[in-house]
Amino acid sequence: MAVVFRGTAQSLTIVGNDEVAQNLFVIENGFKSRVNVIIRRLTFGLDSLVVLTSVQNVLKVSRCTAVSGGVILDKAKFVNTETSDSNVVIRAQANETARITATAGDTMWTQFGARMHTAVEQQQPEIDSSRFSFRNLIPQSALATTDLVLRPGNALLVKVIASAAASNAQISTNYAVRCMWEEDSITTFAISGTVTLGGSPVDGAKVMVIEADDAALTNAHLYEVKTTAGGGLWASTIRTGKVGAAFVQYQNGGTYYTAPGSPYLS
Amino acid sequence: MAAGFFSASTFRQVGAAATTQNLLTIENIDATKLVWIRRITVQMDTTAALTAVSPLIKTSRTTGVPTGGTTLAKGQFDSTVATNANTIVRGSTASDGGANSGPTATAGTVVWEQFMTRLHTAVGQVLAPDMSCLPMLVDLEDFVLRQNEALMVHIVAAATASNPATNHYVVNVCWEEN
Repeated sequence: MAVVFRGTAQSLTIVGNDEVAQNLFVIENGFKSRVNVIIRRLTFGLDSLVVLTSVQNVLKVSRCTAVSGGVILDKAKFVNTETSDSNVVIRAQANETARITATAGDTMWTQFGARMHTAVEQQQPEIDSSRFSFRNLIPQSALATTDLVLRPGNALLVKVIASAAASNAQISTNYAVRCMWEEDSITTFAISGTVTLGGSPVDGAKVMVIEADDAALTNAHLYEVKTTAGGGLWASTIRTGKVGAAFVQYQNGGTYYTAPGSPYLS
Repeated sequence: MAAGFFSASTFRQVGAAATTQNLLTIENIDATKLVWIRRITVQMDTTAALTAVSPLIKTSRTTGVPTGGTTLAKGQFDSTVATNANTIVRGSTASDGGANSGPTATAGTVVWEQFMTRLHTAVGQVLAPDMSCLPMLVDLEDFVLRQNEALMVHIVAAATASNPATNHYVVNVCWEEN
């Protein structure tokens, strides 16, 4: 369709959790979303303050499910007039009380972090400008032809795997994760109608537009509430490939009227 | 043309204390579909000093279809596009730092090679940058795997001491299928 938003999100500094596995960062496209999310860049930084002479941690990227927790990150805009879909949510662990829970899927990409074999000289925790060489959490190609798409209901997880808990020490291990993405709008079809009472159109009636994956109401949700105007008229949209229905409530002189919805339309 | 992009990643593989070691293979056994390699990288961490020459990482076509090893899961770039079951990626272990068990394949002509890192003295920071196992331009210029063709990333070390169990390797591959 068309790119309607481009933006970035950055984690706060995330400390290690003294465990061999730690979820750092998730970008999710909620199932109600009206966009596909295309990941353009996903990288990390790592600064470790103590010596580690055993193998360094790896960061793994996978699709994931059952996401909760963490803190919700701000979304920075490339263009101020663009608006991100509210169902696109980016979260990161902020501290020990805000861990992310998620179930990792198949690993898509793996990166070693870094380590300090002896505590001497300069540390280079961030080399993001060297885009083909360091800290890539997704494959980096010259033309970004490899669209990594998160469709509604999809999420991507960045997770640390350490060979030992001591390699991911809270007191000394610091991560930062950042992401750049685009939002590509999903096609829709129009639905509309006229609300009547006793055969006469009524304005001010509330029309609840329900969207679902199928007539069995998989992932059914309230998309929006419209108020009739201009002779009982209302109009909305449903994502192509989904089904929609509308239910009405109208209040007149203290009396509430309701109307059942039609069978789901596609 | 393209049906989609996919990627796979080995677990962390430890050095085999041998002068040769196969790290990853990707094979296409489909009679009609093609596989284009778009990016293939290896990273290495080493925790022991090595004053001899670094191991070389070589990428070769194989003379037959690989066998053995651990079949790796394949990540989808789009959840609506399934990968072809006839595209098979193999690594040497089924867990990070686990025992090596293949894959088995015979290397053909070397396509690309890359020195890995070493610690002449074990001091300071250790980074593990992406080492490209094919020329970078394969993301634009098609590197094709047709039916029963495979690509292998393997270590060739000057001596067994250059590839000890204190070496750790991760290989990532991204490809396109039609």
